[in-house]
Amino acid sequence: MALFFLVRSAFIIGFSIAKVDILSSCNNIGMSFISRKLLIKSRTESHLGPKLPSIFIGQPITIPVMSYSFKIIISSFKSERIFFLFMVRIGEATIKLESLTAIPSVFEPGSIPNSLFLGKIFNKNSSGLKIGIIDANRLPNKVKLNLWYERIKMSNNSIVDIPTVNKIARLSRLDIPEDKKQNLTNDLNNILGFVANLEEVDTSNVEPLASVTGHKLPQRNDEVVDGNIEDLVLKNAPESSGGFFVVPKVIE
Amino acid sequence: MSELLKLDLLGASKALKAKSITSVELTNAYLTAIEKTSKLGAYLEIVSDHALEMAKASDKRLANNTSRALEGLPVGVKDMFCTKGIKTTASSKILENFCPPYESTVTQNLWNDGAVMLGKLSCDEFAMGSSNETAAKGNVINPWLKNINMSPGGSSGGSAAAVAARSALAATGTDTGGSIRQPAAFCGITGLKPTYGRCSRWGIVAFSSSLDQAGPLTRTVSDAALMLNSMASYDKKDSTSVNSLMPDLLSFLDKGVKGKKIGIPEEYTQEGISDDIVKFYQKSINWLKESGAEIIPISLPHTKYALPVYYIIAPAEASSNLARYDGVRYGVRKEAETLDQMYEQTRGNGFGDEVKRRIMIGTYVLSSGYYDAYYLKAQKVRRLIKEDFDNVFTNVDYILTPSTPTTAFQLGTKQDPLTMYLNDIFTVPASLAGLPAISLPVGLDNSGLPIGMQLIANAFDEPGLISTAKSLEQSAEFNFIADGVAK
Repeated sequence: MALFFLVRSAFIIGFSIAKVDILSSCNNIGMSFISRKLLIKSRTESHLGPKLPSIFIGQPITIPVMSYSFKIIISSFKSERIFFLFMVRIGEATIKLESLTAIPSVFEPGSIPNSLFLGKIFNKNSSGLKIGIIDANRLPNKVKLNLWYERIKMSNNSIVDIPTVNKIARLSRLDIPEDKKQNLTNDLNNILGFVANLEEVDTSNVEPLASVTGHKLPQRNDEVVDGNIEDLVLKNAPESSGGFFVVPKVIE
Repeated sequence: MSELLKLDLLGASKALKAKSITSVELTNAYLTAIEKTSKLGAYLEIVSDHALEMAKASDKRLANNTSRALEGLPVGVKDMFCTKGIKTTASSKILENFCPPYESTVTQNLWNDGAVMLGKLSCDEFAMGSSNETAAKGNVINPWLKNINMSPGGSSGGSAAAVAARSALAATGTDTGGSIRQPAAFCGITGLKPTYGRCSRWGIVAFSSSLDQAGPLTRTVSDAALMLNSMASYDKKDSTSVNSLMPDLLSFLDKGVKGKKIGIPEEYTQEGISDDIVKFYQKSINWLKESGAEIIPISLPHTKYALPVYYIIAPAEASSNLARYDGVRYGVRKEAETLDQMYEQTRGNGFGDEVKRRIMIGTYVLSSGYYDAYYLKAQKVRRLIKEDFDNVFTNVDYILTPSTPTTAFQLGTKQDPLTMYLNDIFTVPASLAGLPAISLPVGLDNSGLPIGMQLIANAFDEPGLISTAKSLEQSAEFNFIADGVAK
């Protein structure tokens, strides 16, 4: 159980420090130039360095790019700092969540994300192209996205599957309709995957914390302090009779 | 806008005591404002007659000079507080007809101090959410932007929207992982979460009992002090209520920050914070420095584990607390053949998706074979997070952080539960450590949405928190008014 995500496609955010006027490069040089350059850089770095592959697990990975398309320019905040987005279809790669803000996020084709793009999703220390998964809600509102995506899946055969979800639903006494089970399973896996990074914390000599105030629970004498309010107790019951709550028959 | 609505809580209190206005006038002004701003959806229940009765009683006391701390001041109540004889739904379908036969301690304290109740305010279902979108009756609209429906934040979204839109003079909220501070930040108002144990949890619909804490949402820091003075109390009916007297917070308003040490945690300045918020974070640091505080860089190394810890502990406690909704004693029942089917269908039908998700997560992490790996582990890391704060508070008096990584987002844009959870990234650590924290508005971003800063204090140092927040408030001079106030 770990926080690794199997990714078959990724939104990739380029981050160039080249002094390029983005608008002119957009019109004159063209996107492919930048994207090609970045792609080459990413290939090189993935062979070379600890930097780019640090977000991957195990051996440095060459990202086998099956296809990619340059989609949009996100913004040019400053002339020397250009953000842009393109999508790469890669072979299967396992990506570790690098920071709390680099959360895998799925957005629907044709959706129009709002709020401002925040930038700085990736480790400041790495250079060139970084790969991660970005949050749709952090894209600028002027941008209309029509992106192709594939759902990100948990590796290690997921933490919970549908039979497990059935079991938890039963323990929770929750009726979950069949057509909602797959989505719920995915959500639970994402959440459980997210919380699983606690594993890396060494807690061998740590006592669990149950009460922040640390005070002892007060005790009182075992005396009736309230009573003779049968009507009030039953007032909100869906069904009551003769001073009792009524439930469906439990004895055959 | 009516002149009466321009008065803040403290101002209105003074005007009432000086007899230049009456509580009935003030209450009527708010009831009218509620009507005019009804499209925001902040109120679930409006109790006009009840409010006017209370206002009349207050006017009598004001007339014969027997007035109390909140005499005649009309406030709204988050629907998580049980109010005797007034519907309390926690924004859930399963409680849509629930009418408590008792009053929560916190609201009773308000009425004992003379406050006037306007009605019940919407929130995320069982306070589980950060956008007010999980409310059974639908979302609340943030009053700040005219043409775009932004989220007011959550879970106290109705409380924050009402105070920002001036349809309540102040409101109560509850905060489990940021449910007072995040909506306060999104709506450009002040929200204070006290130390765990300051306010009684008795009569508040339980979500996560080791984290839940009531607090005020107000227009100003002074108003927060005035409200918390009344809300806080030791209560034998809540076994985690702390028996330690809180001094009158109003007497700390003008103590300033001279010589105080303010910690700036390096872990809170990393990634994912919007540029405008970074800018105002720096400004706030400078303001405090100019007011005589000493700025000290600090480290809270376990910060990044706060959200994972929270999303184990809160759902675990929720799954246990929400076991009581079984269709037998109260709430809406879905009839079925057998008892088990009745439970399952009642709960499946009565709870919304987010609540069901959290019950499922909670049940899973508490279930046999997983308890140690998740719940116990989370409790251990929670101790490390608390120890981070304990260590830091030996060197500094207060901690300054942004309240949220972004300003308000548009309703309907965060579909993925995990993305939504990230909103609480700056508020959750103080909740896990049980510390008092306040969010106050310091500026607007480039789209005109408010930016909130959070100050965190050591346990039970609400007085110092108020002094520091007041100083920051004076420097920031935030006097913008939401677009959605009643014209």
